[in-house]
Amino acid sequence: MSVPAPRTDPVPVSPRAPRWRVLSWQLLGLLLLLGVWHLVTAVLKLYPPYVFPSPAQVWTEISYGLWGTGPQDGKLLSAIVGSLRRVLTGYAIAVALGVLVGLLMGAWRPLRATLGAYLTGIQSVPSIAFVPFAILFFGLNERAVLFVVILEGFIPVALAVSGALLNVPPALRVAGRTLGARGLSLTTGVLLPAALPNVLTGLRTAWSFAWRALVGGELLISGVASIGEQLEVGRATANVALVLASILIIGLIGGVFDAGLRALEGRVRRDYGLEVTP
Amino acid sequence: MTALSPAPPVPADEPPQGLPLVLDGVTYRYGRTRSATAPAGLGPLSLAVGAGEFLCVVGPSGSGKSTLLSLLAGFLRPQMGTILLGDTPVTGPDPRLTLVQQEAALFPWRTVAGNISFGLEQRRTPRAEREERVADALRLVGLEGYGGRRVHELSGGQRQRVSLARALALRPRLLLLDEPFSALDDRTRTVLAGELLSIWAARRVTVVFVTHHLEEALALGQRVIALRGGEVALDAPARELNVARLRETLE
Repeated sequence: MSVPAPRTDPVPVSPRAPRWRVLSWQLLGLLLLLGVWHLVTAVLKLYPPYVFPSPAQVWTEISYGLWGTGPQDGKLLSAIVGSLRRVLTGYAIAVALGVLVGLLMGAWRPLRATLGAYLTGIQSVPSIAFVPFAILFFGLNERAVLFVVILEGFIPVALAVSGALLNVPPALRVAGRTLGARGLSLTTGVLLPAALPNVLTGLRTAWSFAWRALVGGELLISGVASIGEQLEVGRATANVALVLASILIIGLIGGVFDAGLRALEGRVRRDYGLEVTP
Repeated sequence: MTALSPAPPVPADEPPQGLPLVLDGVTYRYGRTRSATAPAGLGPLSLAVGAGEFLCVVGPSGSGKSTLLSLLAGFLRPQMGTILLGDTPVTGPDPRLTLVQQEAALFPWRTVAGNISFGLEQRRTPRAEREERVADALRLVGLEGYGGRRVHELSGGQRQRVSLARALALRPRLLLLDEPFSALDDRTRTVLAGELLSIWAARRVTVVFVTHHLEEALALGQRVIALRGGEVALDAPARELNVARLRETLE
């Protein structure tokens, strides 16, 4: 039996610019932004430093907070560690719970019609609105924050999993069945892997929701080392540099995780042949 | 049809694999949700397919071809009548038969070898035997050395070959094919049809091949049945038929 010569399909040229060029644009933009900030605060001095500090002052705050050795220093570092531990715990629980509930909703239509609709509704409530309830229910402690993080993270995962399961091409389901998979083995061997690209999109949404919910919750619950607490300390002591430093760190951590999940998603989409390799 | 390549050798320890298939008064009607585009249902249909026979089923859309295949594959259960494969009835997805669909429907998260191995894993075939059978199936469809490829790296014809290999690796006693070549260009279609014939000749599996392509049915099948309105309108050896006769029957 002969194999025909490999077809040379025309590979669509990716409209994307090379990675280094995009990176250099982004770097340039960042420098421009810092330049304007520096100009407004340090050169033109349009605002007093206790209202709008310069980039250098914020950097000083960050460096003391991260690796300073004074008695009041290093708090930013322990805040970051505390917040990360909290959000990762919450996120892990949210993902596990979301996959489970999503599977149940995907398998049983009445559950999807009811719970799915409720979850979509709950999702439109800002996470911060749940914090007072969580505080009253769990007390002024970490568990209240975790509750909000899990709630916010679990909903997009559950909705993504159940939606993705319903969108699995029927031909794949038929193939799985005719090859002998049924019940749980059909779900874990065919349906879930087929749903993976869309589930990953849900995981990314869940991350950003969970991260926002965390900071919101931490703001209101003092006494535990957290980035939210640093924001609150900054506000209470009129330390705007600390407030800005905390905001920058929140954005940076959120962005790094998002980029990591995006890279994973892109890799899976390429492996599945859903995207042309750039 | 192009000249066929010589059939791959049959392993000495392998008896002919096909089982006889007998349909007796098989009937299936779709429910009240019927619309103009809904399938018309099937039967009552009685039909006997010999062990190792290659049967082609033709018919226009809505003639019951898909319903027949779904019934044979065990996805639908006859409302009346029985389907016997060998001595035992088909009452659900059955390990003795596999279906190759119009779309290759390969699993993109698995490699080519992983796809072929999937059904064997479901049957808990030991790893060593699995690997041997995967290699065997790849050889059978002329894709040796493609085991590690990703599905999206294959051409349409190669994908359909993998789909066929995935079914053959399970050593089915009945092979169901649902317009397996209809998404391919004419040349690839002819090549694959020839390959299918030589695999069939080597393995002697019972084949039910559904197509709306009359020339294909005549070139491949030993016997052709034409369905119309859920009933058999014509049942004859392929060599006694021609396209004009089939077309006339189906109009």
